[in-house]
Amino acid sequence: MQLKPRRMLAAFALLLFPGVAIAQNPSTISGTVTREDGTPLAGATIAIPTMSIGATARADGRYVLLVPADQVNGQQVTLSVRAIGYKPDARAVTIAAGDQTLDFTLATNPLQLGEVVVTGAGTESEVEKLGNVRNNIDSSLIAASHETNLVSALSAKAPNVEVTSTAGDPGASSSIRIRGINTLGTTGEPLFVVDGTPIDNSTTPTSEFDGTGFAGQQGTSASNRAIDINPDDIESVEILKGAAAGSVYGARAGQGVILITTKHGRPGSTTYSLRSSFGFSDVHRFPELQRSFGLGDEDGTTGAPTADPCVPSSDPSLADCEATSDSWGPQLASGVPTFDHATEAFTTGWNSDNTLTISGGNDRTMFFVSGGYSYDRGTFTGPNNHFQRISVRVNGSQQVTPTLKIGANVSYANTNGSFLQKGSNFSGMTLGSWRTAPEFNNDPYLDPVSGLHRSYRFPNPSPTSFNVGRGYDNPLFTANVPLSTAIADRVFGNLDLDWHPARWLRFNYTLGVDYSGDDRLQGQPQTSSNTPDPLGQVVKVNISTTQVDHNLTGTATYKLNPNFGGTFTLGQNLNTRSLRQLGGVGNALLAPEPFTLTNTASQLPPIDNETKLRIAGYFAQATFDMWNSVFLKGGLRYDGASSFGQDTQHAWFPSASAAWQFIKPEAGAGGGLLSYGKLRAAYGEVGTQPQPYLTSFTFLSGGLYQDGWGGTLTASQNGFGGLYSDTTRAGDLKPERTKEFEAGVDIGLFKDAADFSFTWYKRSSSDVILTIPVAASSGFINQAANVGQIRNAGTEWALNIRPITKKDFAWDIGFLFGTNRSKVENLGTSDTSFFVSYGGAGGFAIAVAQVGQPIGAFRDYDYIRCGRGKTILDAGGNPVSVDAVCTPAQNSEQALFINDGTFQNENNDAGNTGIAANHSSAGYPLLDPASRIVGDPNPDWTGSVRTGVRIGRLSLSALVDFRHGGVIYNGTHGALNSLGTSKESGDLRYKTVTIGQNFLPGPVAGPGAGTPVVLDEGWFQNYYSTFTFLGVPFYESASYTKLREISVGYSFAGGFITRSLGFTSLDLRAAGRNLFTFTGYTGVDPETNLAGAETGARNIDWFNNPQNRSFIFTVTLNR
Amino acid sequence: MRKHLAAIALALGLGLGTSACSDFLTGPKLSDNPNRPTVANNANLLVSAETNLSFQSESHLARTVCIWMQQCAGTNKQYNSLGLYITGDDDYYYDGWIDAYTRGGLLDLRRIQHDALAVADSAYAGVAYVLEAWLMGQTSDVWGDIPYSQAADSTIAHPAPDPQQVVYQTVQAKLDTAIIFLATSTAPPGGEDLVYEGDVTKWAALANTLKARFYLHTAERDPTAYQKAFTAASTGIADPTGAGDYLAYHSDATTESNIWHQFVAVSWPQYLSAGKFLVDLLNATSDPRLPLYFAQNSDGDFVGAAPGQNVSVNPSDLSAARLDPAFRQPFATYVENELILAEAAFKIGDASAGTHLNNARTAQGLTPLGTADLPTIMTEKYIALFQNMEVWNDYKRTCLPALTPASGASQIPVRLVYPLSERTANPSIPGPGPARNWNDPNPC
Repeated sequence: MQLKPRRMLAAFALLLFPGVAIAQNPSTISGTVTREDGTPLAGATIAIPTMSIGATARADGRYVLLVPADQVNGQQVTLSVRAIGYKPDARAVTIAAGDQTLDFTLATNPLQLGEVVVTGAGTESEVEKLGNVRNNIDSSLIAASHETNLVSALSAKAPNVEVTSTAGDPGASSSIRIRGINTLGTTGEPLFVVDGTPIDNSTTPTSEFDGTGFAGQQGTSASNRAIDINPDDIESVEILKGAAAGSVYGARAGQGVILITTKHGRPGSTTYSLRSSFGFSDVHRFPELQRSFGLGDEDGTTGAPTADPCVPSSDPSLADCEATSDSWGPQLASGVPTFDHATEAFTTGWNSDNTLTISGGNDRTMFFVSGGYSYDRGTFTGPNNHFQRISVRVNGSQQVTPTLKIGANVSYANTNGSFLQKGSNFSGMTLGSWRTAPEFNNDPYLDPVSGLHRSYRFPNPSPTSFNVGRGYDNPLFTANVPLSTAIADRVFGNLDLDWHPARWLRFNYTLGVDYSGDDRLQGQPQTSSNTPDPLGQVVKVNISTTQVDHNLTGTATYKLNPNFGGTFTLGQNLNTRSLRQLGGVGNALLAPEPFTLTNTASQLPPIDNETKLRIAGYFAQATFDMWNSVFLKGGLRYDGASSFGQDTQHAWFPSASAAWQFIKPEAGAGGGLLSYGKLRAAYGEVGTQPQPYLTSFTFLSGGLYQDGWGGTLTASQNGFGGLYSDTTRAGDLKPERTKEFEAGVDIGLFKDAADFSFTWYKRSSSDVILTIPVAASSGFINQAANVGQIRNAGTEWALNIRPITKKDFAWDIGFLFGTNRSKVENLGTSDTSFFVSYGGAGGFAIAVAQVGQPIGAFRDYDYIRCGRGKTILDAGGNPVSVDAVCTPAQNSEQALFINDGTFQNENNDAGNTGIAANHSSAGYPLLDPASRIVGDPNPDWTGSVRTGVRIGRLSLSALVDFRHGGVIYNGTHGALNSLGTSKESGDLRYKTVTIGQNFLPGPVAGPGAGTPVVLDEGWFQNYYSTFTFLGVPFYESASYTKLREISVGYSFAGGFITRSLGFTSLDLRAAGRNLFTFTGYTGVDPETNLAGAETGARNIDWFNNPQNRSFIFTVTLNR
Repeated sequence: MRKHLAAIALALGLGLGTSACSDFLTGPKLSDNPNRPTVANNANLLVSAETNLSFQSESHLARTVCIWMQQCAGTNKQYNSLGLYITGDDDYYYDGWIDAYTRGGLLDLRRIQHDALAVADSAYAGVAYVLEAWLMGQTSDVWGDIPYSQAADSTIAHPAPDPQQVVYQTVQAKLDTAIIFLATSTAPPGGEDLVYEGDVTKWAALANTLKARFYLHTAERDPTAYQKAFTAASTGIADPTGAGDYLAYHSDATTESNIWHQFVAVSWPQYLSAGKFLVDLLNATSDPRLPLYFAQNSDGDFVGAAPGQNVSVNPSDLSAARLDPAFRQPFATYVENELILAEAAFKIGDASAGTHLNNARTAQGLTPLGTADLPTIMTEKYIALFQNMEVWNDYKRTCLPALTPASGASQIPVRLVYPLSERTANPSIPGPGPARNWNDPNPC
């Protein structure tokens, strides 16, 4: 049974307009929309804009437009056809009673000119009218990345959008920085907006709650909340980089905006798609460890190495003996078995990802339903290294009346992760593993006799040591026994109304809600080395977030005459975000299991934290189009925020942009070198909202006294409540403000066979909120204030070439290139020695904002060098200028100063004796007790090359990711030098070298230069490791070239697939991710970040859990 | 169409009209932090103040003194370097510095005094004066000239340091005032006074012991200091049973446990062990305090590590008693008071030096000694005040016992440089500070 649609519509029209139908006849326009290769183009929209009449092409490309009889009077109108990815077409048509047929063939539109894109907060624009650079990532690129985490999938997809996966754990967070870092006190993450509604993308490590104050550097990985989105549900991602693009979001757009549009149904027969993938992953780069020297130590500062008495032994008197941490014992006898501690804790991981999508609809109703299940088994051994996501999405829309469309999206996700201890953490997986003495077998991790946790520092546990920390935990114990889980339920969605009460007027209303409830458990068993109490610890927290967003816009379109027109938009945005954290920390497990607060002997004050943030914003935007070639846009947003101080409750954010099409698409279509050209310029201002409650004075109750070494006391003692004045002084705050100017050009070449885009930008963030240290002697340690000023400037280049675009053979290649330079210009003082630390590896590799330096530059310690104005002490204790001892040439090349045994280092001023002793022997350098800027982690440039080849049904693609310049701190290496397990500490051990010649190459100076020295344990531990205020030898270039993605696929369609199986197509794809990394870095992977996603500190390698490479096989069934 | 326009106007009016809710941005939980109190009473503040004093007196600063005074030894990693006096110049001791002013430091002590005096509560005021004098005096012992008169004042962003001499004068004046307040007290604190539980007599005796202690710290500059110390200590802590001693409050609870326990037994095993000098000293005299202070190593011996030696010499740990989470660290005791009297008596030629020395020994269950010369008195004090920061002050004043600096160093550090954070945030403290404090002009 099949009613002809035309008849149906005619009947419908009769019902609606019974009176007029008799008097006149309606007009029906129908036809098909096809691609240039003749295949139907489903989903194309056909409309007569001036009459607010429209239709959508069905799966077979057919469309029907019905003009009610009362509007039929023989007038001439324009019928336009649009489809995403295709050049729009328009044709004049006379509306007369009766049927007429109009067929359209649309050409592909690689430049996407004429297409309408969302520009945020309910506004939209045609691509060619944008005055700012556009970065769009479509679903195919996201699918090709095979990433569970949407943010990771954006890696290398747009210039100056830097994505860093913080660790290799399944479900680990990824951070994203757009055009550098522009903030200090907040996360630096852009605003995420899904289908018009802002969503939460925070990352909260469980270790934030464990009372140690080292969140992020230790503990376990945490997910960023955007991981709750199934990447398969995404239609496209728009990255609003600059302030002009983001200014419609005002005080929340300071770090850029990621606009995500999810997939929607299309009219026509219901389609089903099942995508299933299965993959393997492993870690293929490891640090180099020595396997020649055993556990033990030098006997004090001098003498021969002695084996530690605690090596595994059957001697009962050695039970419970705690060994040294160091592998500075004697050379292992031949025949003593050694173990591969670099790789012992790793295994092959696997992952599986399945999504079923069903979509369809008719002229009025469209739906999209998806269900996804993904499971990621990590690359560490043991049962506790996995992440899974179950997600369901329903998107639907209904054309209620010809002028009113209602849409709704709902997404539910349950994510469930189990993470392993990492980083600066005695229970860390790789820390325990890589520090283990080579002759100690970590397997089994339980003592066969006592059944207790054994580690290389505690090899013979007896029953009396059930509550003694193991020094460092056995990594296999860590992989199996402790538990750190995060179980999150996430619901978000919105109701969307689109109403065109008149041809020239459109209202858009979105009411969005985002809720997440995240249950955290971190159970550290008895004997764990990293808990405040060796009897173990339980951290249990529920984190819930709610966001409600109301966004109303009204847009009026005006046309003064055929050459001048535009739009005017007014909007209102009300937003509420609340966060609630409830939980507890229990220390000292009563029984080994279970990990519950009730099974602990003492509890810290409960975690009870609640925050609420609101924004009330109003915005206006006007556009003015001239001769269809010059497009002007002006915008203004007025935001009030609850976290602004009372004196500055509101702020204005203006923006303006201009675009000039100097070669219009239709003009360039004829051929020639330039087929399209646009110049654009934009200026905008956006803000970053302060964290809540920085403007009120309070007392602290649950606060802890800490001294940087883990010792803690609570303010309350013996049952008596203690309170003390908050150490952060209340400040009066306003939003951070980023002002940015960008300009660029977009060019189409050779009839769209290539396109090129260049953008230059300069942005200045002022009033950057900084928790500035204040003189502690004033009674407070710090205060939040709008003091910082950061400048970022850079260029972005994109070149896409489509040399072959035949139906059966296509090849395209794209290049992205971005540069960014940052500089901290002011921190409330222009003093170039003033700096603010905002993270690091817990005392090492301090990432700072320092005036005159790039943001996030590392401060660390070096040896004394010539040419730096240093003072040292001679044998008599008299100060001597190093520069005076060195020659001018040595001063200019900052030669390493080599001692002859008579000098000591010294603090900047004479006589301070906090630092006196040094390796006083001749031939060694001296430690410089003052830290300085030693490196910039920011890359000089980043780029990527993507290519795709399609030959018939076979397709191949590859993505290569480049990062050039910047340094990374290889603290892992520096630490292993001290422990005596690094390969370097084995190879060079007790070797006689001459510094500057065959060790630490580079210019040397000083009276001891050329004197041979022995690289003994004292050298490695006190003068060539990270534990004693020395960092410089461990900074390396962070440059890399990664084969991010490579895939080959084949699509079966027709024939057997269709006839016998009933599928329209079956796609097979094999892909590899991160298969090769070319880098000079000697550590595991230059893409790592101990500090996690939520901080600007980056490129810190400190026993983090390493990144994986993976192979993925995918089957997609479509019908 | 007109209908439509009316609808539009209505919609706009409804939508934009919600802006009329003026408390949308300033309502409950928006402007004020819902998680924290905005008022605190004196009982709350006193608990924090006493906890804060304990923390400064037994955390990183105290461990450093123990190592530099060779009672302890740093035997691993950073602490091994610390034994060689390598500290870096950054904020290694910043926490000790901020304890002086924040988190129950000077700011909150002044808050207690202000609130107490407003209601004529002399007991609270007196206790807060004693704590202030102690805290600021102890901070000045370490850093010399410190911000005091201008500190913790909301109108002064960059407090300038007072000369150490002035700090000590202020400390004495505060203690004098405290003694007057405590004598006229009517409503003493209760259990929130974690140590003395509101016993104002004990507080007054403590104030006198502290006066004596801080007089001694000026002895290299002031010839009359010994006499003043003798006079003050004569009314100091006088209970030989130790009931008047000021012992830090601790318990078995994780959040209340002794910091030495937390550092050695929990967080950083093997970083801090027995010091060779003290172990050898106790061994040589078969002093019964040896097993009270230290544990036998795995060979069954008492072994101390010299500066720069690490765990491979198999050094002894601190004793189980000292590492007990509930061990209450003695900060000011009858024994110290008697040994102050002994030193001062010796110096002013008073015949009671021997008596006071032996009072101190008897109180510890030790046999009396025949001689009471300065080395004997100071060595006894060095042993008796194990883990107490006062040992460093005694050494700087008397150079006793005669410690040998770590190899490669010409002397044991005599002060700490100003923490970098304070230097960078406070232009009134431009540099790391002088080589020596005012009260310590003479190197050992």
